[in-house]
Amino acid sequence: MKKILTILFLPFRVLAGNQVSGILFNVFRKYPWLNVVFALMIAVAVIVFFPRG
Amino acid sequence: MPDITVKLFIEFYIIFIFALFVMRFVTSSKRLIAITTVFVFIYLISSIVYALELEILSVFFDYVIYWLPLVYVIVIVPDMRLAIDLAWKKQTKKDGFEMGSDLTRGQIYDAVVHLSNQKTGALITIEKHNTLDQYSERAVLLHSKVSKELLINIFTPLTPLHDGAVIIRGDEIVCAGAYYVLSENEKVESTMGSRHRAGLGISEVTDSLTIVVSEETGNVSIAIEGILVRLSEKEKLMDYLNTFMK
Repeated sequence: MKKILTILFLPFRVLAGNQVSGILFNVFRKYPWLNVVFALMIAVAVIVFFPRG
Repeated sequence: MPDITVKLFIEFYIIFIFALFVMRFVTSSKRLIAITTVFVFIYLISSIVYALELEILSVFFDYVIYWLPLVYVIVIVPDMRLAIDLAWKKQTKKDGFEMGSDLTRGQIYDAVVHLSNQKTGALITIEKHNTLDQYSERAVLLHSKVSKELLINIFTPLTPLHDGAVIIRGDEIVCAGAYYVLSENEKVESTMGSRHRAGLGISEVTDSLTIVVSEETGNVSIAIEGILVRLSEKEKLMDYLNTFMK
């Protein structure tokens, strides 16, 4: 049962773990302009895909 | 139609600024990145569920998607508080500030040495650029000259003010019995009590210096800029005070 639960929750454990967040944190700290790129992508996505009345 | 283009541009600009603000906040700590990736992953699963038109799961994810933003905000509240405190730290920097005289330094030093020898717990914060008014407003205002006797008296066990912190501005004890938000720093030794955590907490959100005297051991520690330093010799306190208060 414990093993099944471990496998089921594996993606969440990996994503919430130290490695993924550590890599992302270091990448964003090294290249702060990535924040601007992602913000631009979010803004474009909102403008294009947001449903209008 | 130029009007629509201008409107669209304004909309785009506001969304971009907001998204940039959110991105900078989210990528500011590992904890926030970890939480956000998990929530984004849940959103991705929900889009797969909707794309595959899985009926039962779709109903379930209807609720999940509805409540998820609220859950996310609740989870990141401590980080938001810290970010606001740090912004406040930058905002409340005074141009001019006064530091205590040599006499004040001597009085603080003598009081701390006495309290340490007596193993009496104490928490003394010396203000610099960032105002500590928000803490002193809720404490007992004294506005009295710094003196060894008064400091010892404030921290005497079983007296009403001994549990809180004393805030010193220049040559004046502004207040006693002030309470700070405790630090959530995981690196703090488990043997250190709430007094040390409080000292560290205020040093994280302001540029003040806090002297902590342990009740159990009589050890003297200094909290400054989010770092807690235990002084091996009490004499070192004078060096810290001289450097900080010059």
